[in-house]
Amino acid sequence: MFRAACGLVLASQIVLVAMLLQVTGRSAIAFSFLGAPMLGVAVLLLALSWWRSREGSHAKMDRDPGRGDSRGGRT
Amino acid sequence: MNAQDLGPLFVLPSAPHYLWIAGVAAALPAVAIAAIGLVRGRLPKTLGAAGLVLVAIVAYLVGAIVLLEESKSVAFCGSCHEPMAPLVASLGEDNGSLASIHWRKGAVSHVDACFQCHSGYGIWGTLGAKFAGVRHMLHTVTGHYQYPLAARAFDNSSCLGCHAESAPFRAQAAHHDPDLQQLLVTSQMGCVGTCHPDAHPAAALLGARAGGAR
Repeated sequence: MFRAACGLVLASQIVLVAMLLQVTGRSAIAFSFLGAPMLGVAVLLLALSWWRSREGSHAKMDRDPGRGDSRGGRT
Repeated sequence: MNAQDLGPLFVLPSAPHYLWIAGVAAALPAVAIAAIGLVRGRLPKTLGAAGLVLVAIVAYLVGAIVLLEESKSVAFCGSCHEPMAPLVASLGEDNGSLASIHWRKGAVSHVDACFQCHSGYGIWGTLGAKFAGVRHMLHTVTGHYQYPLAARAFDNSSCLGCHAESAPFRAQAAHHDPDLQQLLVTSQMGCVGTCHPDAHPAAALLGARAGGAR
């Protein structure tokens, strides 16, 4: 999921650079209707990936409370 | 002497336009960070996903500003070959249309003539023109348009903004008629196509396939 998000960001930035180098109707359409949605989906995927990794680390901490808790509150 | 023989006259140095460079400069770090994430499957903690999102969005915002500015140009409008190119090509012709008359007299800027006539005044006029532009792009993408291109009632305030205070306009007896003024101000009647010629020639509104393009 994280790789897919990075790929989408990469693709959206390529569309952006192409538009910046030559502003035409075609590049503007690609920027508005292809690049912007790709960036939006990428941001959603990154947020989801971050949330899942956070949930995963919490679950790991619940299973093994002695590790990874630097505050020592659960030892 | 033919106007073309005179060559370029009074060509002023073009204003520096560094915004697109700022956009590219903002996009390159985003490309680099995204490439690292794509290859490694994770990002170094110093960069992080939040950094990637932030840089990419800032680059896109700069791109949007560049597009808002550049899309005012006649060249941009004419770059959509199928529907708009014939209209732009007809500007320089002596075809009696209002657009052609304004263009040939130099009454509108040759850089952003389309935007000058098709946007209202103030920030809301600009915003309205931009939304109309997005609608045009959607129509182009979906192919959802028909020939002849439908000419919506032209906003009289775009005409009156320049003409209402001009001496030749005020010298016309018809313009002093209170009933006519009321009709024009309330948009019940248009300047274009009634007392004055159509904005664009009918052939150009039929598109490139119908032979409207040069």
